Amino acid sequence: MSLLFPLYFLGLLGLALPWILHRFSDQTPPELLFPSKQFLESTTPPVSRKRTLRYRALLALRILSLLLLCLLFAQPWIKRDNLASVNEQHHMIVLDQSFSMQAERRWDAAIDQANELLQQLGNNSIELFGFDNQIQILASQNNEIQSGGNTSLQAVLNDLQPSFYAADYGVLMQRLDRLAADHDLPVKLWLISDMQASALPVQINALYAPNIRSVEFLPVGTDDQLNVHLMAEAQSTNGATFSVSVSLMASGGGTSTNSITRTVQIKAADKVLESRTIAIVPGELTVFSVDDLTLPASSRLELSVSLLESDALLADNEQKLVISSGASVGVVLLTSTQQRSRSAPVFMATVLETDSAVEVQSISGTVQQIPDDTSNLFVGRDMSVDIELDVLQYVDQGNSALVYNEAVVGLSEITDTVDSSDTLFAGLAIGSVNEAHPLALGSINWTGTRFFATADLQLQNDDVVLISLSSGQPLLIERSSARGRLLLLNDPLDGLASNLPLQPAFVDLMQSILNYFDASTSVPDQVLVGERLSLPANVQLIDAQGNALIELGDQSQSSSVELEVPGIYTALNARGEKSIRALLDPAEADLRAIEPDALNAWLARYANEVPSSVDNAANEAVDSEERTALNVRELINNRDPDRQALWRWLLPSLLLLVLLESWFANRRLNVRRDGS
Amino acid sequence: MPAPTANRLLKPEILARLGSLELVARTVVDGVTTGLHRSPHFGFSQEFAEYRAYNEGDDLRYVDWNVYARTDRTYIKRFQGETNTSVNVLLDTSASMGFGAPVSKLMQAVYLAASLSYIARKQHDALGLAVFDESVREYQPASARPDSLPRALTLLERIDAARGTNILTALESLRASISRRGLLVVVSDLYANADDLLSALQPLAHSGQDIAVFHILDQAELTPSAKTISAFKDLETKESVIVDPQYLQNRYPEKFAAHCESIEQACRRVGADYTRVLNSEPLDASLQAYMRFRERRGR
Repeated sequence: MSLLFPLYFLGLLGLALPWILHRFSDQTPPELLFPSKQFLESTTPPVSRKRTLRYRALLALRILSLLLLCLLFAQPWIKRDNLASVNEQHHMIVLDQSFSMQAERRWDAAIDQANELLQQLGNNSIELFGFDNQIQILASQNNEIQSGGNTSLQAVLNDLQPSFYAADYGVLMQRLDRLAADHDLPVKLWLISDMQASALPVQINALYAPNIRSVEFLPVGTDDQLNVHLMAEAQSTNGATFSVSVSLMASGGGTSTNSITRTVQIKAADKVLESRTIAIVPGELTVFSVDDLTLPASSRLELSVSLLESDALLADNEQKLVISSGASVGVVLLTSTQQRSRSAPVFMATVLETDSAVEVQSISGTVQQIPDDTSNLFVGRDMSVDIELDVLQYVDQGNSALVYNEAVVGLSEITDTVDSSDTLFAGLAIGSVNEAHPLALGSINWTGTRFFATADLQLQNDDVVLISLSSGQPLLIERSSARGRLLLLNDPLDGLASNLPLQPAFVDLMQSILNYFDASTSVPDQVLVGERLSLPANVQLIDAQGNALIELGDQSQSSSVELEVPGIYTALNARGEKSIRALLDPAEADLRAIEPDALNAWLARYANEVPSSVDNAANEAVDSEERTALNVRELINNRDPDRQALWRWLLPSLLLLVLLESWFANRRLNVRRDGS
Repeated sequence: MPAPTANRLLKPEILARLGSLELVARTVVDGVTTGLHRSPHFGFSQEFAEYRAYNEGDDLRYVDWNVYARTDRTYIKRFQGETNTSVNVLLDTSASMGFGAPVSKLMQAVYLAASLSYIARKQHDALGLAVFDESVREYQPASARPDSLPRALTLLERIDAARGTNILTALESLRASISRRGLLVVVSDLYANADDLLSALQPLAHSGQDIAVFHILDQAELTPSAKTISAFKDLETKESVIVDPQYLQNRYPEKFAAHCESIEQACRRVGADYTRVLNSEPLDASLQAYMRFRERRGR
């Protein structure tokens, strides 16, 4: 028998307590009155036989109770029969399906490993999982099934294919831990993976799953496999020529650091535009660019950048590109001679032009003078009266407009009329923000933004208040329109009625409004495979093969989709289309394996001894505590295949002893009461 | 034979329910044969007792001149007196007398003293009462006045057992007060050395006192019992002694019996009458024994 917490045996010092109490009890005989002690002789008090037996039995019960209590705290256990314990495990077989498993021979080796393991485990309780950026259960087998073997599991294995996603061992272990907690049997994890170094989590402790008793790695990768990952971008600044920027990263190939040469070819519509041979040092990023390439005469500006030499991962040797036109979004700042503040157009132009993709036009005149190719209007109006019809008509034509309120009297003009010093100097802060709106106003930092003068607005039934002040007055309102978008800003943007134009929040606000107005900027240019792509409402998404991933009819609200395959996707809406590149995760293309020390440190969390190679003392301490906690949990839950906790027998014995002790003690009290 | 009369009388626990000591005494004494006792000393009564040879110094008035004339010898003529005598009752009220059941030894002693007082007054004897513990607490000199009995009973009703005991000092101090010859009744549990008791009683006996000793005992004193080792607390000194039950069962009764025997021997040596009284027994047996003793001494 062994103990988990032998220090609790210090509690045995408490055995002295009943011993002392019983001694005191024996030394206090009952007192009787007597006429004279003249003929009495004092005697050393020996204990009579009857009394000795009774009290010693009680003492023995009390000492035994304390002993059992200390034993319970010390968590004694005995070793189980190992042959019986092997079968009392639940096996989780996890197969790495990440992109790196597409490297030559890795996937086949993983499938072979899995099949061999399934045969070895026979009719044990097994669950088969696949994982990349998430984990999914593929099949399971209860150990009660005695006939048929695990052919169904092997059939599932044969249909599996690796994905383009990146893996994260930290996420894997934490999710497996939650799944293992649901099992009564101790869980053993079999991890069939290429043990990629880039898949290690930032926090190493995430690798520890307390509900998993043991882990065994079945590595399938080899360090000698070399892979070069290619990333490229193309941009045209003038519409006639373009430049291509290429990044190359080599990984694997053993410990050699000798440079290798690769030929990069740029093609457009099957025509080779450029071909270059580049020397690459493994482990270092190599970047080069090709400028002044002439745009091909094609309606679709797509390029292909590829490596001619083969390597371990073929899927990342070629990238499809869309030439970024560099076309800017046009915005008209409409001013007039009657405009009260000349500061507002200046503030807005300054903010909008910080984004190189925005082209701001300041026009003094009427709405009719706005060019037809510009669909975004920023204009100031007096909102104390109804907005002029020309703006509404402009919006109804499918355009967007931001109208700011010129009716608000600025600070310099109200100094003599406003008495409230609080409002005058402290101002009003932002009260509430509609975070559900696509403007993403909740992500803007409104700290420090103050409003010193406001005006009441007459809201219409369909108006949606997007931002309101702490006084409840609306600041930003969206007014519904038949086709376009109309936002009303209850501020003159002169820097006097509020400090909004002077705050960083103003930049974010204008950018959000512009993104909201221009559909082409509401979706990103590129995402990583496996990342969720957020799309606004009424956008159609089409993959590289022309299949619609999201139909228009599917989506009346904004939604998100996960792009599974790298390539070029197209987002379409009423205003036009935009290309989205789905890229492979560069880290996943790094085929370097986990260092042996790190691997040992990972395994050590599930072993009885921490290896000396683990250099982080703090981690060791944490590991030790967690291992102790694991031991306790496994013992208490009777899930440890090697050890069996004795508390199941000790606890009823203790209860029985306590009952007997109470019975004896009460009986003794009754005797005293009787005086017999 | 004490047995027939004992059944007629009431047990101490029943006597304890009676209202007054006078009633108790009357109840007890009426159950006992009420023969008058003779005077313990010879006096001037008409009943002739004996002749004794004349010694120098004898009163010439008691010389029987007729006998002298016939025999030419000088004899003193002695008569048995039918005269009153004095009865002094000495009652021990030490704390040890508070022990016992169903009534305490003190209560039994009080009943006995009251009964003796009643008898004395019924015979028109002078009645005296002394209450002592470590010393003489109260003393009523012997008196033949009618109120001597009520006074004695009143004193007996208000005594309690509280202090230690020293019967030797009490007898010593009473010796000077009791000058008239008569009957001296000692009622006590007699926790004293027999030799000391003897030396205390001897002067009284020599001064002509007729002494009767009533040794009041409780059965638990004679044969105490305890099932476990117990601390026995002395009622007088308040000190405790831890005693083994084996000792109580074997050696204590022997030692206590030897003590009682030595006390009885001491009494006999001074001519005193010794009577053992248990507080659990009716009083008539003790009184009968006393009366018989008096008759014997009277002849």
